[in-house]
Amino acid sequence: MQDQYLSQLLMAVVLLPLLSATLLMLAALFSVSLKNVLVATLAVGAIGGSAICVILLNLQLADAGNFSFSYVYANWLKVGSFSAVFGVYLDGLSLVMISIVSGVGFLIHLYSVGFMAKDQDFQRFFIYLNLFVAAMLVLVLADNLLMLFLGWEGVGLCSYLLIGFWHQKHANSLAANKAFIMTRIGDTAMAIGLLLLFMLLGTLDIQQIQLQAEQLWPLQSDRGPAFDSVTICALLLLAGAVGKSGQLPLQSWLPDAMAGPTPVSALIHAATMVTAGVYLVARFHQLFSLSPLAMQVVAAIGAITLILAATAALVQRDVKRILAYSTISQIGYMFLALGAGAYSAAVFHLMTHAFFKALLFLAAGALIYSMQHQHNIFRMGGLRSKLPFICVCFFFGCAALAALPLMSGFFSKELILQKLLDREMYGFWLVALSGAFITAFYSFRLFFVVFFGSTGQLPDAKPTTNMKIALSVLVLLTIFGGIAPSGLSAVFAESELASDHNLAIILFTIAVPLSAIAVCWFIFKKQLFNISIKSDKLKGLHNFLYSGWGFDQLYNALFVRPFIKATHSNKKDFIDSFYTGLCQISQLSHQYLNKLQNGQLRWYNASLVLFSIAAMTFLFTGQ
Amino acid sequence: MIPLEHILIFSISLFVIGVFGILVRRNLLFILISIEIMLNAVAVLFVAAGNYHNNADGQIMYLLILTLAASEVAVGLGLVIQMYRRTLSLDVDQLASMNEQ
Amino acid sequence: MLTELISILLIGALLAWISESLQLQLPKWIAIATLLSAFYPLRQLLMELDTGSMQVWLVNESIEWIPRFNIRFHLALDGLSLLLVLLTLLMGLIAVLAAWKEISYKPGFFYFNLLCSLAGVIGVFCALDLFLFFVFWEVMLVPMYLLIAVWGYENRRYAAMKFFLFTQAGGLIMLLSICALVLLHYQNSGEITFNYFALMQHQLSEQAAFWVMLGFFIAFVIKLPIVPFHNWLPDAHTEAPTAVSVILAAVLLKTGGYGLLRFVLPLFPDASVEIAPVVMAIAAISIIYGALMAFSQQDLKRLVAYSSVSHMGFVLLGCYAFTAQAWQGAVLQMLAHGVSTAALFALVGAIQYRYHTRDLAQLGGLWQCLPKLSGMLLFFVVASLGMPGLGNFVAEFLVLVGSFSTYPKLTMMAATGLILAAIYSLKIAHQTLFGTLKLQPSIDLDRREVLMMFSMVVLLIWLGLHPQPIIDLAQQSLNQLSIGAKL
Repeated sequence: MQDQYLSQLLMAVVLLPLLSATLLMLAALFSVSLKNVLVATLAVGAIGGSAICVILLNLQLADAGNFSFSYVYANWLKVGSFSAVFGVYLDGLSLVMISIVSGVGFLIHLYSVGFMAKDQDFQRFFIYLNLFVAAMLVLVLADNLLMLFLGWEGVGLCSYLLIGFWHQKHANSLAANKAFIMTRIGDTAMAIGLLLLFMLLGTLDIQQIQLQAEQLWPLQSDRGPAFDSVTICALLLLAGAVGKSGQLPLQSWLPDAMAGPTPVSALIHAATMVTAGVYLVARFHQLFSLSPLAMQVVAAIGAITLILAATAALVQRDVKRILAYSTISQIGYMFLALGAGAYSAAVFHLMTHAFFKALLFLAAGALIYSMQHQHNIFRMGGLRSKLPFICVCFFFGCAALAALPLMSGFFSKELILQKLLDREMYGFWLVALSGAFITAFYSFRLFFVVFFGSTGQLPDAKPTTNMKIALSVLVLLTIFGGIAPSGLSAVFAESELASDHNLAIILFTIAVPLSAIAVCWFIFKKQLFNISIKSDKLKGLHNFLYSGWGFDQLYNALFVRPFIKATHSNKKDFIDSFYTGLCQISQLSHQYLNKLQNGQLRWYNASLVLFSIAAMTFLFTGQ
Repeated sequence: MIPLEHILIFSISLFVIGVFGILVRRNLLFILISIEIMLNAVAVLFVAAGNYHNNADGQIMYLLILTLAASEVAVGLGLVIQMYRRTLSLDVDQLASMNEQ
Repeated sequence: MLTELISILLIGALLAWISESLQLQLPKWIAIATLLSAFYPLRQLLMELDTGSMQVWLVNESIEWIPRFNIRFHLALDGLSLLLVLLTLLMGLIAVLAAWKEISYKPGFFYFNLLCSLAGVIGVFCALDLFLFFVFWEVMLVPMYLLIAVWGYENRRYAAMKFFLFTQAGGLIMLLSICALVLLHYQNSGEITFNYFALMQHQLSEQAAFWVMLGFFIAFVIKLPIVPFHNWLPDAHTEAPTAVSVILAAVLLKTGGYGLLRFVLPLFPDASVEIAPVVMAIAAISIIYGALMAFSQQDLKRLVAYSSVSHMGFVLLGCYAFTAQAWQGAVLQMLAHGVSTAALFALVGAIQYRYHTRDLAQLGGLWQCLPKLSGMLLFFVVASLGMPGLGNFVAEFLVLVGSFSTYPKLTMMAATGLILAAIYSLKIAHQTLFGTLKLQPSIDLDRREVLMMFSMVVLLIWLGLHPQPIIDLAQQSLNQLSIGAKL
């Protein structure tokens, strides 16, 4: 009875946005013109319906401690020993994820109604957005890897479509292509991981895989990190996660992805899709735990990306690019936590990050909306009094991002730092702490430059009511969302180490961001942020950081240009020259043979006579 | 009795004259005449060989060649006249049109 | 039943030709009516189809034809053939719809050739007498030559000749192989027969089997086409009119894959197993080479043609991996590629009809004035890059799953084709749809085109989300293969 209720709710959660997207698509295809109000009602209503179903699910499962629920709706394909189904798996982790996706998704849909109101492609926007939510829900609810991959590629596609949403600009399309192709590289590695897992374990069911992996490759702590098959599987899956989450070495698509409309950046490139990689590793935590090497790789990737992106964010001028780099950096924190085995801390940070980063992006969207699509923060300034509401939103967002005490971001980041200490990973702890310093610095640099100081460009529009509602809810979530979801620890079965909460260390970690803000304020007052740099060395450093450590240039020189050069050098297909060569030989021989057949009677005669003489001499003397 | 060798030499010389005629002359009429000479060279050989073997086949063959030559001349001359009427020339080199594209 | 089916198409072809002299609009209606009525003989079969308890051969018809050489008019239908026959008829309808406005020169003769070619293809998919198979092989070829040579674009003579020579060369080699096979069988058993089953029983010596197999293999691989025999395809596609490109991509290429599955693997199981590693390597190269070539093309039709080379590499990969999944993947790939590439060609044709160019440098910004066409183009582009949920993904994934256990390295190589597919597919979208509009605005897809495209969208989604009926239908035929290969 309860199973059926749950399965129907889950089906509704996924199908409502999908249905709405399909309806809107069919309407567009068959030239049924819909009013914007109707489109908005349908699209937002569908996500709202999903969100309500998720709330019902939460209520239903609130008192169930360690629950896991799986249900198979239909068979997808079955060939010989290979089979895949349409099935869902719900546990504490996926419940948190669908809550974030549907909840934040709903708020962003609501916000978009205002933000996109004047866009002529209103309907197309909501088709993509609905489709995205559906695909994301499939991703997090899937009980087997093939269905997860369906959602995985689905969100990638929607991300591509939405980055290139404003199709008139070529640059948007290039950014979209870059995003899709770079994630595709990770995805292909992940697909190979799927093949390998199926070959070794004979199943694609996620829970089965992990159970069998634990039996097949028991963790041998004495052996240390080794490059065995479980490590290869884990690393292949990690490649997919790295691509989707914008981690090193596939991180450089994310800043460019900001070409899309701002709600998209909030939903896809901050709150949900880019954290899919974190979800994937958390989902496969049993598998990853079996391979110490893979865990170290995860942590190292997280740590390096964290610093890389945070330093890049220090020097950006575009408000959205600052936030994009900060997203990469925050996901780096999550990877670091995953690598340290602190899965619930990672997912907790994923959740709080979804709240405060969605808030920051939506607020940035409102800012851009009010400032005639101005993205450069140095053209703004002193907006504190002009746009007080947005200023408040930004303040709470930045505070949470900087992990100021009592904000949601504080609790989750604090938890990560503490877990790192618990596991005696002091190097990573130092990296994370310095990351926290830089984070606080750049987030308040953004805040001070935009809202304090001398007045720059003046706003000409006010955010609409829809936008304000969504923002307000997110502000509340940002402030009070710092409660770790209860279901998580049961999923990850983490042993709670009795950590002695050293007060000095806690105070120290609190002091770090605060001191960063103080330094930032000091520099801001001296007006050092927007001065032009004189020294060559500093300029070089600035450019290096500004380009995100020069990865784009590196990849262009290493892969893109050689690829284009190689393919274009063979434009005419060298194999064809073999056949044209064959053609030419026969034509040439035709030409020579044709000379003999010239219509000259005497020439024919002469050859006849000569041949006869030759033949006779041969006959009479040759033998 | 004329020795066979003499007739052979005569016949071969006639044949070679005919061949050279075909090779050297450009006028279609003379080519036709050269063909006749060659035919007759063969015919003479047939008669001589028939005589040598005491066999009538050679003479029968000669009659066959005679009719053949007659019909050939009839058709050939007719064609030559037609050709001359059309092109006002009997030069085979000029008449060669097979290779014109 | 199958004889009726083929006769209906041939009679319809003649009618279309004759009707041209009455009225120029008549042939296309006759073509549509013919293709629709071609489903009539299949009605009972389709209605009573039960994949659970199905025999291998659903239909088996055999009439005496040339008794002196024991050649029979032997047509039969199993699950695999049925799928491909249905694909042929459906894509035939699509092709007629695609030609609807484009063909104005001698429409009667055009539809005559189109229907004849389709009849030949259906014959190829059903013939179980090797001589008859060869006859149908030629029947589908000659009208195709005319279709390209008469109704093609600028460089049509060259392309048609190239197409003809390549296929004819393959056909000749195959004819030699057929003769050799029959003669060897005659020497052994003293009975001349072209019968498929009789020849299948016959055990050849290892050496003989290898050479005879090679003859069949080359003929089919040229048709697929696989690097290095692919050069006819880009030219033929570029010059062929839209409808012919649709037929070529959707149906004609599939005869190659079908030939491998129906003749090469069952007739020469041991020799096939032996050359499998080489073939797998060729297939992987084909996938990558086709994709790289596709990326460098500037002509939209050439690009799609090269992408076909890449996609058909998966069919070859699937055929020679000798696992159930890979074979199923190959069959699904034939169907899915048939639909998705045909749709892409139809869309390129629609663009060409509107703008008289296929040059990517001249196109751009189509989204601004042709939203429906752009949406459709994007859908099929995405389908061809292997998006999960659509047919091509299921097919390619099954092929990869199937071949990974036997050839992991080559499969990984082939999997990089997925990245390359994304690159060239997105190039299509990037160059045609995005940016500022360089050409005059034109009218969007009309109702006929929307219907045509929408039906293919539905087909692809169905293949992607519920391929099980098709898998079950093909299962019986593929089981025969694994029995032959002693798996």
